[in-house]
Amino acid sequence: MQRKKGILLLAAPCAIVLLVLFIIPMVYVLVSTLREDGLKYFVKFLTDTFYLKILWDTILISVEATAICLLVGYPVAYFLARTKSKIKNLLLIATVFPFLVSAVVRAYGWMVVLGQNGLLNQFLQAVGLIDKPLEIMYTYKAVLIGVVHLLLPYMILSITSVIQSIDENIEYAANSLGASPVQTFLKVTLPLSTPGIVSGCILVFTLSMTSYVTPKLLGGVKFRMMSTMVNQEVNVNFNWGFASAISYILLFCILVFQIVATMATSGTLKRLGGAKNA
Amino acid sequence: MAYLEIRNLTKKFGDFTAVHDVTLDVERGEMIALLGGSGCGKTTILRMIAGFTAPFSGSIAIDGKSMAGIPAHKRNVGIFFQNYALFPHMTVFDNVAFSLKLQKLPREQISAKVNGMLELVRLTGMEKRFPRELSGGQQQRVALARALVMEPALLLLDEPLSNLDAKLRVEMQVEIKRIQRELGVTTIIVTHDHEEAVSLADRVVVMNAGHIMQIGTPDGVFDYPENPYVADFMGFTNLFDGTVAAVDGETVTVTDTNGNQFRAHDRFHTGFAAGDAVQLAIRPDNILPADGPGENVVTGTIQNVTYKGVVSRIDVEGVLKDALLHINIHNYDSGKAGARMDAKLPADKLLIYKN
Repeated sequence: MQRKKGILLLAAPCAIVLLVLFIIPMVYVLVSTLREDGLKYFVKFLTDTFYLKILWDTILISVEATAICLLVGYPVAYFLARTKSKIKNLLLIATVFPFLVSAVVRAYGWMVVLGQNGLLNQFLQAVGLIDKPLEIMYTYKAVLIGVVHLLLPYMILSITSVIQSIDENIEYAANSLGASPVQTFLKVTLPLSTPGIVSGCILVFTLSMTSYVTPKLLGGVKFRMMSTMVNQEVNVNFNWGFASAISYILLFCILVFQIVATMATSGTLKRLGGAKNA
Repeated sequence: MAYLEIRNLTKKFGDFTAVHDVTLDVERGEMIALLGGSGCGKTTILRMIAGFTAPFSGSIAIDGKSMAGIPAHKRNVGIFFQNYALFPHMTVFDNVAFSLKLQKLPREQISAKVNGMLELVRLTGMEKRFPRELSGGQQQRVALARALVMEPALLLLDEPLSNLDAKLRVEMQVEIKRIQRELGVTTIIVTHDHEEAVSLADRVVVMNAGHIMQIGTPDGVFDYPENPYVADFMGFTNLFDGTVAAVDGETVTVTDTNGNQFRAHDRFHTGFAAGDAVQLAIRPDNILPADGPGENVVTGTIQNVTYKGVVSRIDVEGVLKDALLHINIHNYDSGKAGARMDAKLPADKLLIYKN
C-alpha cells in the first residue's frame, strides 16, 4: 500500500501539469461555449454538408495514412527488428532522423517536389509519361503524401520495439512444427506484434487527425482539414464558439477510434500483456 | 546405414569456423548427447539439423534422405528450446495442436492426439490454460508435447533442463527418458552439463571449438576420457605433467614434475616410450586415503577441507608442482588443515595422455 502511494506520487507532477494546462482549459472552453451558445454550433456543424465533408475528408485521410503507414512501415520495422547488420543502430537513427526537421520545413520540401513546376512534374514530363503537369499540390493527395511522410517513423518505431521483444525461437519453433515462413508470419509473428500495430495505428491516426501544418501548407485553401478549420474560426472569423465545437467533434472522433481499436484487440493484448510476467 | 548421418559437416561465420568437419552416425531410436561448453558448436549443429541455418559444407541425411535444400518446415524435425518458445497467444491445447492443424487433420483426430500427448506428459486438465499461467516445469512439458505430437523423424532438445531447479531437474530427466523410450523417437540433446548428458543419453559426443573430442558411452566418456580436454570437462580436476621413466608392456612408470613416481595403465593403447612428455589425470573421487607409503602413494599437507554434503573436498599441498591435489572423500572425519596426509592414486584410475 505504501509502495503504491509512492508510485502515485511519481506521476503527480505530470498529472498536475496536464490538469492545469490541458484539462482545465479544455473544460473551460466547452463550458463557456455551452453557456453562451448552447448546442448551436454543434448543430450548425452537423447539419451543414460543407463542414461534414471536411470532417469526412479528415477521417478518410487519417484512415488512409494509417493504413499506408502500417503497410509500408511493418516490413521496415520487421527488418529493423531482426537484422543482424552492423549498421542496425545507424538504420534506427535514420528512421528517426526526419524528426530533426520540423514539419514546416518538410511541408515546404514537398511543395518543391509536388508543385505545378515541381521536381515530380518536371521529371514525368521529361521522360514523356505525361503531357501536362499533374494537379497534386493543394489536393487531398498532396496532404496524404505529406502526412504519411511525417508520421511513418511513429509506426515503424512502435512496431520495431514490439517485434524486437518477440523471441526468435518462437518463430523457429513454428517453422519446425511445419509452418512455412508465410504461415509462421500469419499465425505467430503478426498476432504477437498486435500491441505494436495498435499503438502505432493509434499514434498515426491521432496525429493525422490533428495535423495542422501539413494540410495548411500542402492543402492550402482548396483542401481543408479539421485543424485548419479551427484555426480559421479562431484567427480569421473570431468565432471561438464554433472553433471549440469543431475541436470537440474532432476529439470525439479520435476517442471513438482509440476505444474501438483498443477494444477490438483487447483479448490479444490481455494475453500478451500477461506473458511478460510469466 | 545409420538413421541420421552427418558427414563432414562444417559451418563458418565469416572467418570463424563454428563447426569443423563433424561426422556422426545416430541409430534409430538412439538418444545422443552433444556435450560441450558455450561456443563449442553444439547448438550450431542442432540448428543445421533443424534446417534453421545451412551448412558451409558437408551433408545431413535422415533415414537415407538428404536434407540439403529442404526448408525447416518440411523436415519433420521436432525441436525443444531451452526457453520453451511456447506461443504465448495460444492455449496449451492450441500450442500442442499447432502442427496437426497445419497438417489439416480432422478435428476429432487432432483432439484425440493432443489429449493423448497431454496425458503422456501428465498435463491433462490444463488444455485451456495459457503458457503464462503455467509453472516452468509445466511449460516444459507443453513444449515437449508440442514437439512430439507431430511424430517427428527426429527430436532435438536444446539444453532441456538448464532452466529448472535441482529437484525438478531430476524429475524431468526421468520423465524425458520415459517418454523417449515409450515413443522410441531418435533424439539429440544439446547440453553443457556432463551429468545431464551421461544420465540421459545412450551415447555422448564431447565437443570443443567445433571439433568432436570423443564419442562414447556415458560411462566410457565419464570414467575414461580419451584426451586431457575431455578429462578436464568431465571433472578430472587433477591434471598434471610428467615424463615417462619406464615402460613394461601396458604398465607405464611416470615421474611427474615434482619428482613423484606413478604407475599407470596404457588404457588407450597409445604406446609410450621412455622420455615421452605426458599428462596424467585423475578424478578427485578416485583418490583414496592411504596409511603409509606404497605404490602410487603421495604425501602432502592438507591446506583446506570443504564440506560439500555427500563428500568433503580436501585440497592437498606439496604433492603437485604449482597446484593442489584435489581429493573427494565420503564421511571425512580425520585430519584438518595443516595435517599430513597420505593419498593413493590407483594405477587403474590414473589416466595417461601423450603430450
